[in-house]
Amino acid sequence: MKLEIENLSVAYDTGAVLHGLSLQMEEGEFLSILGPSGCGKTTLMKAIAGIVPVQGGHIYLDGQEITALPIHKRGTVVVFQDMRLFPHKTVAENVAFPLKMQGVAKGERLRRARELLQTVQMGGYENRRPSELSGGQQQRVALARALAAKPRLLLLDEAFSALDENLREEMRNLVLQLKEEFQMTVILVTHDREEALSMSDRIALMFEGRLIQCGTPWQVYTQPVSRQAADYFGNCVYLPGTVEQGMFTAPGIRFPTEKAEGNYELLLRPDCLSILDAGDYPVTVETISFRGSDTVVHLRGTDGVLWKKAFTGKVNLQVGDTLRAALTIENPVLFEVSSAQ
Amino acid sequence: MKEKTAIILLLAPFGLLMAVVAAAVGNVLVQSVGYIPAFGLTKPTLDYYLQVFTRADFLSAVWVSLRIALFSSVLSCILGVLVSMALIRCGKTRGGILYAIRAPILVPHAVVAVFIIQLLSQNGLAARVGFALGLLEDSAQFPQLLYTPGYWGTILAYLWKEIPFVAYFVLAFMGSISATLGEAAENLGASALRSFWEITLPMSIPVIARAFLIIFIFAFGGYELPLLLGATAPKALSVQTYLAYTSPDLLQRPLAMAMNAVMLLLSSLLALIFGSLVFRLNRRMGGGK
Ligand SMILES: Nc1ncnc2c1ncn2[C@@H]1O[C@H](COP(=O)(O)OP(=O)(O)OP(=O)(O)O)[C@@H](O)[C@H]1O
Ligand SMILES: [Mg+2]
Repeated sequence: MKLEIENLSVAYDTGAVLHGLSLQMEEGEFLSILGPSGCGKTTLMKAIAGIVPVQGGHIYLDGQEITALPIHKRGTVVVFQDMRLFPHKTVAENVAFPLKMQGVAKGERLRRARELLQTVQMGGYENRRPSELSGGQQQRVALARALAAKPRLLLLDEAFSALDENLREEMRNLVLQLKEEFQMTVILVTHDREEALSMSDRIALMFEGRLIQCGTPWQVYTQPVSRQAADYFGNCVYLPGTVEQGMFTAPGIRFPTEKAEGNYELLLRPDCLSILDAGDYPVTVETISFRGSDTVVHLRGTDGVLWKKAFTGKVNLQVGDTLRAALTIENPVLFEVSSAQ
Repeated sequence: MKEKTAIILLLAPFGLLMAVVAAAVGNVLVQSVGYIPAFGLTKPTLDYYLQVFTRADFLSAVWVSLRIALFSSVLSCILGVLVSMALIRCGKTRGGILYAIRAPILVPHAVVAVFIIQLLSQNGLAARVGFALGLLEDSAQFPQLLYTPGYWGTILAYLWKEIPFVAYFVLAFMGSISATLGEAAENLGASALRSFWEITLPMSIPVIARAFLIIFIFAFGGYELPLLLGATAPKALSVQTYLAYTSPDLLQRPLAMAMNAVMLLLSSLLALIFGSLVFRLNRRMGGGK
């Protein structure tokens, strides 16, 4: 289902949370929203679902304006961060609840509930109460209950956070598979960058109630629009330099650019640094920490920049070694340094 | 050691209170079997209980009190819950409105009785307004609510006080249920009404039941309102008992005490039955822990 959000503003009595936010989604798209805690992700989900009143802007689903539609008529289902299972109903009754609201007969809806519980690997728990389940089990029941509603738009608010790594992987795959099957459009709110990068068609980065960037995982990771956006994915290194006459220059680096003249910082990530070459960028090994699947080595450049590079396999380095590394820059990203600083 | 003394000190006032209650109950029971040496009654007997249960005025008094208690508690719970729900739906669960709701709870019963007389007697405010608007040809056409065996005036007075009490009592709890689980239900396709009916109301039954019990027991034993607004006959249980107690005929004393004992017994029995019902409900709600 096509979703369009125009200039959405939401405020609580504690102050404004969303400031004129706009977003477009295509039918069947999987969008992840990434952003620091408290930036308004849950609020955005609730605004789309009609749970919090909006102060301004419009929301369209499939071309139909739903901004003023009551909650239960929107067809947008949220899997809440705090799950919100009904404690006085059994697991099966919880999952059957949306079907009950649609008027599906009892036998049929319990059968469907049982099926859905099987898909989220919760078969056999039908007659338990939610209070008798673990956090991860509750999350899976909440997911099954949301799917039972056959939403036009599924909103997952950190729906996998209580699951362990294996189960999380399975639930992700399940959601992706069901998304295809039910032709759902899905928004996933998450703190997990890798989850967002690996699952999504597109990622929206949110800071303080605004979307600062929206694009494919590749775009968002490799072409961040600001230092804030770049830093969100971490592991960034910035080399200060200047642009003069169409050339960016920093110690040991020079390449043509279309940026206007001025002071810039060049964004680099550890994959730009290759230490096996006999390059012209000397670095010193500061620390070596083994982490199981890889080893992280902190390398200090002569310009004082600290690189945190992960190596797989055996690392033949000693603290204090000096290496002749090389920088390879494929898609340089430059951020202007404001002259005020 | 120190802790123990602290606990004993803290519990002392409560213990004292309980001791007084126990002594009073014991006194009632002893006197009710006709043992009052001061009046020259020394032979225990169950005759007074027999008398109590065969007296028509006592039985109708039990009936009157039960009726008042039942009507006022059931109606105030239903209406109080509706008021609370209405407040929640318009997002008014905090601030000034709470003071407005609390006001009737603080008004003494005797004052409420005066209000009700001013408002509902046949030459009261309601009757006169009805007459002025041409709804009534004569203010005496206004239904007789006060001093009648139906005790409607008493019930209305209780409603005036207890509807706000129920609304206040359940508001915070229902509000939080509605804001989380009720919202989730609507999100899953339930209309506001169904979400209330399927989720918020059943989840709130234990709290509502507690409010019900408080009102019921209070109205069952309440004295001022049935005295001031009720009929001369049949009387409410509390009024009947007090009358017997203050009778100049001292030999009525054991009878009054037997009535008291029966009232106590009925109240405790009702509270007990009700308490166990609520306990079971609570367990079924999955919130028993
Ligand atoms: N009901 C509310 N009343 C007042 N302020 C609220 C309410 N809910 C959220 N806020 C505030 O709105 C801001 C955004 O909250 P929101 O829950 O949308 O954050 P979030 O991005 O989902 O954070 P997290 O990642 O921690 O879940 C926060 O500053 C929060 O304190
Ligand atoms: Mg959140």
